[in-house]
Amino acid sequence: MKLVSLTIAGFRGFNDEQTLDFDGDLIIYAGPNGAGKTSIGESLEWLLYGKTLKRTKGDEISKREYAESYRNAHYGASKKPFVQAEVLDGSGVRRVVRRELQDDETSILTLDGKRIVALDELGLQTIYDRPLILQHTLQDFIFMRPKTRYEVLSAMLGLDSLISFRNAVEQAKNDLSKRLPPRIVEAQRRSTTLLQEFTNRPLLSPVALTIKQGKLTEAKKHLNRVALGAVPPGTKEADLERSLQASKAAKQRAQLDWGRFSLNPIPLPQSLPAISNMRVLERLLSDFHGQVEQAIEAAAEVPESVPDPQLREFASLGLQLQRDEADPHCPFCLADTLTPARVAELRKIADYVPATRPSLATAEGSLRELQGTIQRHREQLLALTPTFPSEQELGTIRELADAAPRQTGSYVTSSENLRNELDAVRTQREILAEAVRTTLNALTRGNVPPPGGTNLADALREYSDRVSNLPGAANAYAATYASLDPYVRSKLSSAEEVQFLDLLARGLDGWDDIELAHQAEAMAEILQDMIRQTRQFIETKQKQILGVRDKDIRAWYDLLNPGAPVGYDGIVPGTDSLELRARSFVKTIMAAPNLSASQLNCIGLAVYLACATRGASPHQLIFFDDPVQSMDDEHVEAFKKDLIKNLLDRGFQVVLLTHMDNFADDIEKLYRGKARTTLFKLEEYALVGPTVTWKGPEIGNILQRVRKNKDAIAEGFRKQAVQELRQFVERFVKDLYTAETGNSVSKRFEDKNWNELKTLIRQCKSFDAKDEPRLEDTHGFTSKFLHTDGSMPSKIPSSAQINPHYADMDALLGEYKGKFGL
Amino acid sequence: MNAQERQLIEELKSKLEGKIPRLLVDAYLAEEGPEGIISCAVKMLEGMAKGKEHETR
Repeated sequence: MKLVSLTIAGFRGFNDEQTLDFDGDLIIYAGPNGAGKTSIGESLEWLLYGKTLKRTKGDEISKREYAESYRNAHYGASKKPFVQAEVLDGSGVRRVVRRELQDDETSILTLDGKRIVALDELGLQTIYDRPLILQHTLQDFIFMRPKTRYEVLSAMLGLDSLISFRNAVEQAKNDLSKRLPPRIVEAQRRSTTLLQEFTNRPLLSPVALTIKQGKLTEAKKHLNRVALGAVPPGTKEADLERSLQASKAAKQRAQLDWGRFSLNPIPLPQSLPAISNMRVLERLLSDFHGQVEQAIEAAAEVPESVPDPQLREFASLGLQLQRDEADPHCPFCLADTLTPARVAELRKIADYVPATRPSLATAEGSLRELQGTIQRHREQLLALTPTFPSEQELGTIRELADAAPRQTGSYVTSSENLRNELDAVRTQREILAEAVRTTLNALTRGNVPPPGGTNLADALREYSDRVSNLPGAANAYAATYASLDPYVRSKLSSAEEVQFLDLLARGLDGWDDIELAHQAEAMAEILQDMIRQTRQFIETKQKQILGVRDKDIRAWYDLLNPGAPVGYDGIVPGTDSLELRARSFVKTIMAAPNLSASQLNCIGLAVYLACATRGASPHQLIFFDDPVQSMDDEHVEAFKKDLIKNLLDRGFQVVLLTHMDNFADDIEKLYRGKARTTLFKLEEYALVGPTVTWKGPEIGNILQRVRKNKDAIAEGFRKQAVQELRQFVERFVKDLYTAETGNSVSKRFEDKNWNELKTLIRQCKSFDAKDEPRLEDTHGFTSKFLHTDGSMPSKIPSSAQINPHYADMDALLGEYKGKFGL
Repeated sequence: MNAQERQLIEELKSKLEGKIPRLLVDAYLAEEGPEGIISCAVKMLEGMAKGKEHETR
C-alpha cells in the first residue's frame, strides 16, 4: 500500500479540511516545530489503526494530556472530524480509506465508501508491521525507562493488546479483594479463624496445612477422621455433625471442678488449732471468773453511802460464784451468780467501792480477748470445712458416679452430716459470741439484759461440745470423698475437651466457608497464573517475531553504522523485559546505558524498519517523522544517502517529516533526479491548521521569491530580494556539487564567501568555467549590500540594479535545469 | 481493540488451561480493561456461594 493523498478535517492540529499531496516515491514535508507535522503522522496512524500510540502509551501525565484530543478544538461542533487517504493497494489500484470520528471517540471506517471493521482488504491483517516511525515513538525508544521501552517495543511488535490485557488482569487481581461479595468476605473471615484454631491443635494442624496447600478433599477427609475419633464408635459420617454436638453437650455436662470438694483427713484432731484452741477459750473464761471473784471480794464491805437498799443487801449477802462442788443446799450456790444481770449489779457497786475497779478492768480485758479468740476460732474451723457441692453439682456427681451408688450415697450422707455439724457449731458460736457481748455490755455499761439469755459458761460448754464432734464428721466426709473420687474422676471432662469438640463441630459446619474462601483465593491465583501465562505468551511471540527480524534489525543498524566496533548486538526477550544488547569490540554489554543517544536512535530506527519492511508486510510505505533527531552528522549522512536509497531501491514509498530545512533540502537534492521526489514546506501553524506554502526544489523557489520582491517600492522587500539572490548563488553551487558528487555539502560551507564556494564549483565537471564569473558577479553584487561594517554602501539597491542579476541567474538556472533534475 | 488484536487475545485464550481463565478472557473481550474481568470473577464467586447455600438447604 502506498499513499497518494491525505485529507484531514477537524483532527488534531487540522481545523479546515486540507488535502496533502503524497503522490511520489519520496515525499518530504519540512516545517518548524509546531507547524503541524506530528498531526499529519498521527492522522495517518489513527486512520490505519483507530488509535494513536501517543494516546495509549506513555505515562499517566502524557495520557491525560492527550485524552479526548483527537478532535480539533476549533472544528465546527456539528461536523464530524475525519481523515481520508487515497492509496494505491498492492495491485496498484486506487482506493479510498476514510475514518470518521464519532462523539464517543469511536470511529467509523470505510473503504471505497463501504463500511468495514478492519483494513484486511488492503492486507493490514497483522499489527506487526506498522509503517509509521513517528517522532514520539522514536523519542520513547531512546529516552524511555526500560519497562516503558519493553511496552513500546512490544507494541511495535504488535503485542500491545497483550500488554494491555496483562495489565488489566494485574489490575483485576489487585482490585478483586476490594470487590468481593459480603458473603465471601464473611467466609474468608470465618475460614481464617478456623484455620488459625486448626493450626493451634496438634491433631488438626495437618488439616490446616492441607487446606493451605489447596488440597481441600484431603483436608476434609482428615477432619472427618479426627471427628469420628471424638464421637461414639460406629457413628456414620452423615451423622457426624449431630453426633459431635451430642458429645459436646455430654462433655459440657461432665465438666465439674471435683477437686474443689476435697477435704484432707485429720489423723490427729488434737493437733488442729481449731481443737487445741478450745482450751484457750476455756482458760480465758476461767480468768474472767477469777477476776470477777476478786471484784466481789473487794465489794463485800459495802459502805453506808450506797443509797439503794437492795444493792446494799446484794453486796452484804455476798456474791459467790456458783461452783460445781458447792453445797447444793446453799441458796447462792444453786443460782448462776455470773449472769449478766449480776455482773451489771457488781458494776454499779464499783461506783461506791473503788477497790473493785482493777479486777473489773482485768475481767473486761479477759472478755474482750475471749471475744477476739472466738472470732479467730471461726477461721481456724475452715480447716475442717470443705466446699460443698450444690444440688446441681450433686446431680452431676451422681451422674458421673452412676457406677458407684453406694459410695455416692455415703458421700452425700457424710456431706449432709458435716454440713449439719458445721451449722450447729456456727449456731453455738453465735450464741457464745452473743453471751460474751451481753456480759461485756453489763460489765462496761451496767446494762441489764432481759432475762432468758445463755450464760457464758453454758454457751462455751455447748460450743466446745459441738466443736469436738467436727473432726469425726470431717474425717467421715474425707473418707467418702476418697472412695468416690476414682469413679467421678474417670468420667470428668475438661473445658479443653469441650472446646475441641466445639472446634470439630464448627469446622464441619463451616466447611462451606473454607471452600468459599479457598475459591476466592483460587480466583486470585487463577488471575496470577493468567498473568504468568500471558507473559510467557508475549515472550514466545516476541521470540517468534524477533527470531525472524533480528537479522533485518542488524542489517538496518549496520547500514547506518557500517563496520562500527561498538553497537547493536541483539534483543533478548523476557517475560517482563526486552533487553537491548550491544557489543563493545568483543564484549557484550547492555545497550541502553552504554550506547550513545545517536546509536540508540539508530537501533530504534533499525527495529522499526525491520518490522515495517518485513517480507510479508502489506505496506510499501515508510513514514518517518523526525527520524534523525538524536543522530550525529555521520549517522545522518548514512540515513540520507544509504537508508533512504535502500528503501527506494526496494520499492518503498518514503514519506519524511522534518523540522530541519537543510536536512530536507539535502535529501530532496540527493534524490531529485533519481526518484519522484517532492519537497513541501509547512509554514507556521494558523487557526485553520497547518499551511503548505510551496513545493518543489528550493533552488527554483528562491528565484520565484526574488521575482516577487525585486520590483517592490518598499526597500525591505528589495533587500529581501537581494538576500535571496545571494542564497540562489550559494544553493546553485551546493546543489550542483551534490548532483555531481552525490555528497551533501558540509556545514562548513554555509554562509561562506565566494572564494570558498569556488572550491566546490570547480569540482563539478558539468559546470562550464565560463559561467563562473556570472555567479561571482552576482554574489559580489549582493554581498556588498548585506554587510553593515561601514565599508560598503548601506543604500538598498534599486530594481534597475537588481534586475540584470536576476535575469542572468534565471537564464543560468535554465541552462543547468537538466543538471539539477528539474 | 481491532480485529488483529482481538485475534491475538483469542490465540492466548486458546492456550490458557481451564474453563475459568477462558471465561475471564471472554469477559475482557466484551469489556476491555480490568472491570470486565473483575465483574466476571465476582459473579463466578457469587454463583459458587449460592451453590453452597443451595447445598446446605
